[in-house]
Amino acid sequence: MEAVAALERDAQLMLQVREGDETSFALLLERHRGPVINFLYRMVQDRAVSEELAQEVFLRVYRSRASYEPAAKFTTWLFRIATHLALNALRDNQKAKGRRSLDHDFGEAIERHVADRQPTIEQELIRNTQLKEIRLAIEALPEKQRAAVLMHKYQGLEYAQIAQALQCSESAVKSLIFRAYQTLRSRLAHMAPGALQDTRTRQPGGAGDR
Amino acid sequence: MICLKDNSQGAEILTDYCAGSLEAIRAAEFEAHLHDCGTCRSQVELQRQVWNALDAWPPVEASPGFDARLYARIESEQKRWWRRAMRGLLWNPLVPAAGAAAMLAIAVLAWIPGEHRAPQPAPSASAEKIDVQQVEQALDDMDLLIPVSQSPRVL
Repeated sequence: MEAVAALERDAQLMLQVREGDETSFALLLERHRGPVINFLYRMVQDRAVSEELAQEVFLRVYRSRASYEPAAKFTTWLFRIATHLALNALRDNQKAKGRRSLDHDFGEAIERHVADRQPTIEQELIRNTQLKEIRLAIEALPEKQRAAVLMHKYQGLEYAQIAQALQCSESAVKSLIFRAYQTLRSRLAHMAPGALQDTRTRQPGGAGDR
Repeated sequence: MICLKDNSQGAEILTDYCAGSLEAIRAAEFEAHLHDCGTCRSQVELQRQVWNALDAWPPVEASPGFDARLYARIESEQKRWWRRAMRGLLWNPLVPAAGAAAMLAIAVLAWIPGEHRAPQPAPSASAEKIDVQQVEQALDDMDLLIPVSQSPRVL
């Protein structure tokens, strides 16, 4: 119910943007900037590229304001644009250029985390290794599986929404997601659950970046 | 009983259960089954591990200048659009030609109306008479020109 209300709010805001209300665009940006950047970051695994793509996403939203019709949920539409751009970027092999900055970003994220909780050097090394494994496991997934599983896990989108974003059937999306989780289960199974407890920022079944 | 092995929707049940999105009734049914089925239990444990592992990937924050950069791009795009529209107008060879034609049309309309709108002198009665006579004369002349062979026979 809350989700429905939130979606209606987004659509309303977008309709106001269509009428020339710049404040509504700022509100939409405020609400969706984080999820879009994080989705793109996990897709392309490069911070600079993900911000650039996120800019393009919101630029396209703004450009499309005049023709916007709330036919689909706003988040579905938004993630459809984001997925399209991410898949294109991956196909253009832009991520290869950002490999160095990925490691830099990754180090930064760990550094922040370490500073907050002050773990031992050993814990820090374990965490570093685990996060790299997670990143590599996601990166190793085929592009569409990656997009589908990221939207499912971190954005909490429903199968139907992911299907619209990826422009395929709901059953195809389910197949993509289940195969992705199956691959991840086999790749990440060796990671001890206890060791992950310290690095966890959310509870299982939580809302991800939403 | 819900067993992942025997269920065509096993993967969906496992995913939804660990994501917390399985309907309450089905989740309770599945939990009851987990007490007796070691295979399903280990599947759930593995999926939970993955779910938790993915949680360990911290989200990133947008860089401080993100919004400012976006608004600058929007503004420059709008300016570019105007510039392009204006340039399109100025460089289109049809535009000066159309302008010149419009000016010419205005000048002509401003100058000629006096002639067009000047009341024509009413034809005098004598002129009308002459015209009628001329027409009658012409018709008579035409009758004379018809060959004998084509003239109507008089019986």
